[in-house]
Amino acid sequence: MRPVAYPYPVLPASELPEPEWFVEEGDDLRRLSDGLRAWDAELPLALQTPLEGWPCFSELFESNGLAEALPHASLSLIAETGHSPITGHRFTVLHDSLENLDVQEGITVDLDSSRLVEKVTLHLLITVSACSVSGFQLREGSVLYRHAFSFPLEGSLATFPVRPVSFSEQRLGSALWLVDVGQITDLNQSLLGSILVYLNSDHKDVVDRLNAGEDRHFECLFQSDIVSTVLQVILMNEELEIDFGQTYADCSIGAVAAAWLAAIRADSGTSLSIDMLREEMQHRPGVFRSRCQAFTLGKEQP
Amino acid sequence: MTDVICLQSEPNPPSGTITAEGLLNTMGRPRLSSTEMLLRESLQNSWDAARIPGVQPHYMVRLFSPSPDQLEAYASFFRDRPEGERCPVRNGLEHFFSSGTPVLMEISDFGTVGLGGPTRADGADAGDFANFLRNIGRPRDTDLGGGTYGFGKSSLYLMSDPQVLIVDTLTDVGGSEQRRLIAHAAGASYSHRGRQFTGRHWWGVPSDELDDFVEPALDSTAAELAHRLGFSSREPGMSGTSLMLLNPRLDDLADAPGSEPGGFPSIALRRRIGLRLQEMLLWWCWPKLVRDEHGMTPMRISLDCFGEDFSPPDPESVPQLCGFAESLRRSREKREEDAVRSLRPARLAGHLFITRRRFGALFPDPRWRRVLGDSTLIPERLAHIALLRPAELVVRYEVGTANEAEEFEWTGVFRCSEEQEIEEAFALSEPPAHDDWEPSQRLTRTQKVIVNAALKRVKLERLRLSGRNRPEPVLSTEGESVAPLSRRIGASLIGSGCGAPGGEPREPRLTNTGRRRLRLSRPSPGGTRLEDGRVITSFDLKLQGDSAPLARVSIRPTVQADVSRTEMAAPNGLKPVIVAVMIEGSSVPLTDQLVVPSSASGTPIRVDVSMPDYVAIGLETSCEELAQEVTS
Amino acid sequence: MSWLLPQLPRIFAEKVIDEFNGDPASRFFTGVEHPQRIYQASGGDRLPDSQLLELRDEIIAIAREFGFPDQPPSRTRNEDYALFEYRVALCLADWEPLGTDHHSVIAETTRRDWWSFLSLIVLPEVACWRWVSETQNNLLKHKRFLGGGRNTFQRIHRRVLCFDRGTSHAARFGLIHDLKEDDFSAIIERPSLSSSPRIAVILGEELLRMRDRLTAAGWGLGQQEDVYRQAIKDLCTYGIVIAFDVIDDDQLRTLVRDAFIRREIALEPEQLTNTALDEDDSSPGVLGAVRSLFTSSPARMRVTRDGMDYDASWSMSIDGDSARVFYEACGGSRDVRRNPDYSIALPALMLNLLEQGWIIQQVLLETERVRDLPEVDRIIRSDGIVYPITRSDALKIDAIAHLIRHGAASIGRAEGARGKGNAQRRLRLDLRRT
Repeated sequence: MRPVAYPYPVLPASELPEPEWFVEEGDDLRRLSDGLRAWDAELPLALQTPLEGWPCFSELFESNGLAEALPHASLSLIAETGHSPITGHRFTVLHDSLENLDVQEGITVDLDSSRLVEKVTLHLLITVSACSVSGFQLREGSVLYRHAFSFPLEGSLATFPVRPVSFSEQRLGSALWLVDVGQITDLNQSLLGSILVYLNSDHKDVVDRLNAGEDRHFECLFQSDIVSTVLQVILMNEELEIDFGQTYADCSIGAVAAAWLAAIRADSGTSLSIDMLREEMQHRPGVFRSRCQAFTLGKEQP
Repeated sequence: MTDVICLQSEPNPPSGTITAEGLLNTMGRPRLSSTEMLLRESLQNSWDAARIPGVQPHYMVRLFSPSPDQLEAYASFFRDRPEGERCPVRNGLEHFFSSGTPVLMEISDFGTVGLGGPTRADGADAGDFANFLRNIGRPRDTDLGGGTYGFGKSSLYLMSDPQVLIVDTLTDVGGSEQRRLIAHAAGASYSHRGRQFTGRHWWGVPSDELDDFVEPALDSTAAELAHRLGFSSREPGMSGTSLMLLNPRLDDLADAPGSEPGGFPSIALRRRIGLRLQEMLLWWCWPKLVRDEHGMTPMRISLDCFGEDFSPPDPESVPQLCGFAESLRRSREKREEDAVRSLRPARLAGHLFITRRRFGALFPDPRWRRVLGDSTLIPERLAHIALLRPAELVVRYEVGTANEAEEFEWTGVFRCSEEQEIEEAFALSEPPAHDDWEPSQRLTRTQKVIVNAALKRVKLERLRLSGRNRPEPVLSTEGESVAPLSRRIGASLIGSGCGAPGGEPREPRLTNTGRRRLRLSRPSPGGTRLEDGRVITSFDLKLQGDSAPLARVSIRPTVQADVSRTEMAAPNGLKPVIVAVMIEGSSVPLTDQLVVPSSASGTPIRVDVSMPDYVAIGLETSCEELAQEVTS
Repeated sequence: MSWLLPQLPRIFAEKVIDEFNGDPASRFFTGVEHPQRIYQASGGDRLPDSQLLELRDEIIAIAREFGFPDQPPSRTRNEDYALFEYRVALCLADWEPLGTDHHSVIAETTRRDWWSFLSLIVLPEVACWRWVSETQNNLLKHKRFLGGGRNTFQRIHRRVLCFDRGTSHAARFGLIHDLKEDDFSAIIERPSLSSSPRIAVILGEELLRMRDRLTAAGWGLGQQEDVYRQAIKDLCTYGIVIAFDVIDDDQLRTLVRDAFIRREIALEPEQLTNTALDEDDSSPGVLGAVRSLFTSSPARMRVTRDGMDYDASWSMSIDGDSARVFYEACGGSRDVRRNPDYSIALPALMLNLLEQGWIIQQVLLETERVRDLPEVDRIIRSDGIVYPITRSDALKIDAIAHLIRHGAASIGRAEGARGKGNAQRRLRLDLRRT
C-alpha cells in the first residue's frame, strides 16, 4: 500500500527504523529477507524482530504528541498467508497492550507452520482503543502505525523461478524455454506462484550459456520474453485493472508488473497510459516487444 | 467397634459448591486410560509425600478379595448409608455387598509423611489431610513436586465403582505419631426430600464440636479398624498413607464373568491384571526404578495381585527399557553437550540424551505381549524420547519411527532444568492429567519461549532420527544449478521491490543526453492537524532530475479504499480537497496543473489536503517535462 | 498431523483441460492416479486414495439429488445449484482431511494445485455438470477447473472457511445456506474483510438483516445489491484506518450495521424543500425545516418535496410525567411505498420530543390491522433499537427512525399481510419525563 495520511496524528513511520525480521534456524538467526533455507511444515516457525533503533514506547508517544494515547495503545501482529489474498487467510498471532511490552526485547513469535502456505505477510500494527488525543477523538481500533513484511516459504525472492526440465520427458514440445504464466486472478497474488520459467534441459548448451551469464544480449532476450509474456497476460485481462498509481502487495505479481510498466513509461519520456500500452500490444505487438527489449537492455547492471 | 462409625452427607451450602461431578470432571479428557491415571496420580502423590530425608519411600499396590470376616467388617463400617434411591454411592455400596465378587484395591506408601495437619478444612492452614479429603484443588506447594493440582485425586474416586475410598494414614502430629482412618465418597449430586446434596459423603467418628460432621477414627480405634478392613499392617515408625478402593474399575475385571470354576477371579485373569498393572507402572514410572550412583533406586515399588507378586523388574533388565535408564543417568549429569537452550532469551531449558541400538541387538522381553497382545503398552521396537521434569515421572513420550534406512532404534530422555523458574514453566504447562506440555496462558512470555524451545528441539530430534521422507522432486530438476541465472534474473527483474515496502522506485533513467529524467518522489505524509476546526493533513514530495527546466505536475488526492484501490470520494460522499500548495517554501495559487521548476538538489513541494471523513488519503501524481516557460 | 493432499501442477492441469476440450468423451473419471500427481515434500502421510474415492461417492450422491447427470430444470436451476453448493459445503466441512474442526485453518487445504486435482481428476463429471451454462462451444472455462478463487470446489471450501460460525453454534454453516451467490462474491472478493472468518460472519449476518429490512419495505434485489456493494466498499475504506482484527465482535457488528444503514437511508429521497426554511439555519435539511413546521401547525405536518405533498398527523396527550404521542403517516399523491414522511418527519418529531425533555420508552404499532394483538407483540423491535430512546441517541436519530419504520413493516407482515406494507401506519410513542 502506498504511504497514506490518517485523519489524526500518528507515529511517524518514515522516522522509525523499519523493523527487520529474522528466523531462528537451529542456534542461528537468519534474515528473513534472505529467504528460508528449509521450511518444514511440521516445525513451528520461530520469528523475531528486535525493533532495532526504536525509542522506548513512552518516549516515542510523547515526542509525537500522543502521550494521551499510550495507555490505550496495543501492538498486534497479524499473519496473512496463501497463494493470493482471495484463496488465503489471516490470523492474529499477537495482541498485547504496549504497557506490557519492552522495546528492548523486541517481538518474538512462534508461527504454527500448519497454518502457513506459499507466502506469508506479517502485519505489525500499533492501534488504540477509543480515546482522545490533542483534540482528536480516536475511534476504537484506530491505527497509529503499520508495517508489512512478506516472505515466501519456499524459494527466495532474490531468485527468479527458473527450472531446467527435460521437455521431451514431460511432453512439452522442443522449444528452448517456456514462460509459464498461470492464471492471474488477482494482482496481489504471489509472484513466485504465478510465474515459472521452464528451461529445456534437452538443449544443454543453451542452458549452460544462459547460466554462465556471459552473453548479455542473449540473456536480455530471455528476460524480455519473460517481461512481455507477463505483461501481455496482465494487460489482456481488463478485469485486473493494473494501474501506475497503485501499490500492490509485497512479492506480488502486481508489484513487479507495475514496476516494469512504470519503467517502460519512464523510458518513453511521455505520459504513456495503460490503455495506450494495451492498444499497442494488441495492434502493434512488435513495438510493444521492442519496448520490453529496450527495458531489459537499458537496466543498470546489478 | 465399628458401631461408632457414622455417615455425614454433604448438603449444598447456601453459597453453592463444586459438586462431586465437578470434582470428578476436573481431569478433562486425558489420553491415558483411567487405570494409568490412577497409578500415575497415586505414585506422584506418594513421591510428593516422600519428604523424609534418608528414607527410601515404598509404594505398593495390592489387589485382593475380602475374606468373609473382612466383608462383615465392611458391612458394619458402612452400615450407615446415604438415603435416597437416586444416590449412586448408595447403589454402588449395595452392589459391592450383594454381588458376590467384591474386589478391593489397596494403594499404599510407606516411609512418607502421611496426611497430617488439621482434620478440618476451616482452619487457617489446611494441611495434607484436609487438602486431600476436604478441599478441592490447591496450588502446588511442594518444591519440584510431582503434582500441581489438587484435582489429581479425583482419578482415585473415578476408579472405584461406588466411588468410595477409605483412607488409613500414620502421620506426625505435633511430634508424636497419630493414626487416622476415614472413608470418603464422591458420587453424583442428588436430591432427597427436597434437599440438594453434593454427592460427597464421609464415614467416621461423629465430631464433638460440630453437628452433622464426622472426624477420622484415631490411634488404636483407627488401627483396629484398619486391621479388620484388611489394610496392610503399619508398624510404628512406618508413616504413610493407604487408600482402599472398593470395587476398582479395571477393564479386565469388567470383562470377567461373575462366577468361574475355581473361583473368582480365574488364574488367567489374575495373570492378566497383574501383568497389565506391572507394565503400566514400568512404562510410566521406570525413572523411579533407575539406580543412582550409589546403587539406590529413588523408590521401591511393589505390586501384589491376588497374592501373586508382580512387582516391576529393574528397567535395566528389560531390554526395551534399558536405553531409557542409560539416557536418564546421562541427563542427570547435566553435561554441556546435552544442553538444550532457547535463543531469545538465552536460557537453559534442560538436557537431552538419546541412545541408539542396532536392530536385533537385543531381544525384547516378551512377557507382556504374550498375555496382553496388541494392547500392551511397552513396544517391541523403540523410537521414543521420554519427557521428564526433575520429579522424574514420565509426562509423555515423543514418538517417532525406528530408522529403517539405517536400521536402528532409539530411546532418549529430555529432563528439564531444575532452576525454579524453568521447572515451574514446564509444570504449569501440564494439564490436569499431567500428560503433556502445552505452553498456555499461565506462563510468562519467557517461560513460553523456553518450553517451546525444548519441544521444538525434541521434535527435531524425533524427525531426524526417524529418517525423513525423501523429498520428491516436483519435476525432475536436472543440473540443478541454474541458480546463478535465477539470481541474476531475480536481481534484475525483481530488484529491491519485494520485502521492502515503501521503497523509492528505481533510480531515474538517463536520457540520451545523459541527464536524469524528471520525476516526482513518492509523496510522504507529513502529519495531520486541526486548523480552525478542520482536519488538515500534509504531504511532502520532491521534483527530481534535470532533464528539463520545468515540469507540469498534476496532483490529485484520493481516498485509500482498500489495500490497492483508491476512490475519489469518502463513504460520506465528501472528497479530499487540496487547500494549500507550497513550492520551495512559498505558497502558490491552487490550480489543476502546477508548473514546478526543477533544481539540482530537487524542488520540495508541500501539499495540504482536507480530510473528508475517518479515512486514509494519498496523493496521485504525475509529471511531464516542459521545455520552456509557459506563460498562462 | 495433517494429510498431504495430492496436487496437479498447473501446467499439467492445463493440459488435462486441453484434452477435455479436444474430446468431450474424455471428461470422465479414470481413477485417482495420474502420472503428474505430486505431493508436498515435507513430513506427513499422503492421503490414502480410499479417502478420495469416498469423497467422490459422497459428492456424486449429492449431485444426483439435483439431477446429475442431467441439468436441473431451468425454472429452478439457480436455486438448485445454490442448494447443491450448500450441501457440498457441508460435505467438505465434514470431510476429515480438510480439517475443518481443527482449531485453525490447515493452510495445505488452500493449495490451488490440490483443488485442480480434485476438479480435474477426482470429480471431472460433476465439475463439468455444474458449469454447463457457462460452457460455450463446449469449451470449459479454465477458472472453474484450475485451482483458484473461482474453482468449482475451492470456492465452496472458501465459504466453509469464511462463514464458519464455530462448532458451538447451532447453525454453524447457516450463512452458506442463507446468502446468495452475489453476496458471496461481494464478501469474498474483499479479502481485507473476508480473510478473517470473524469479520466475514458478522458481515454475512448483517447483510441478511439488511435484506430483511429492505425486503419488508418493498425494495428489490437490485437496490439491495447497491446497498451492500456500497456498504462493503465503505467498510474496506474504513478498514484502512481502523484495524477490524483488533476490535471486538460487538464493536465490529455496530460498525458494520452502521455502514449498511447509512446506505439504506440513502435509498430514501433526502432533501426537503420547504419555503418555511429559516435563512440563518446553518444546517439546512431535516431539522430546520420541520422545526418551522411545528411552530406553524402543531397538530398537523405537511411536507412538500419534489412537488409532492405528504401529510402526517400527530397528537399528544400528557398525563403528569408520562405522555403518549400518536403519529400517523398517510400516503402521498404518488408511490405509496416510499414513505418519505417517515424518513423525514418521524426523526424530526422524535428529536423534538427528546429536546423537550422526554424520553421515548417504547414505540408500538397502532394500525387497525394489528390492534388486536397484545401490546407486547406490537412493540417495534430491531437490533440497533435500545429502549428507552434518550437524548444521547440524538445523533443516531435518523438510523433509529429508519429501523423503527422497518420494524413496523415486519409486524404488519407477521400478520400475514401481503403486499408492500401499509400506506397508513400509525405509531404510538410512549414517553416519560426525564
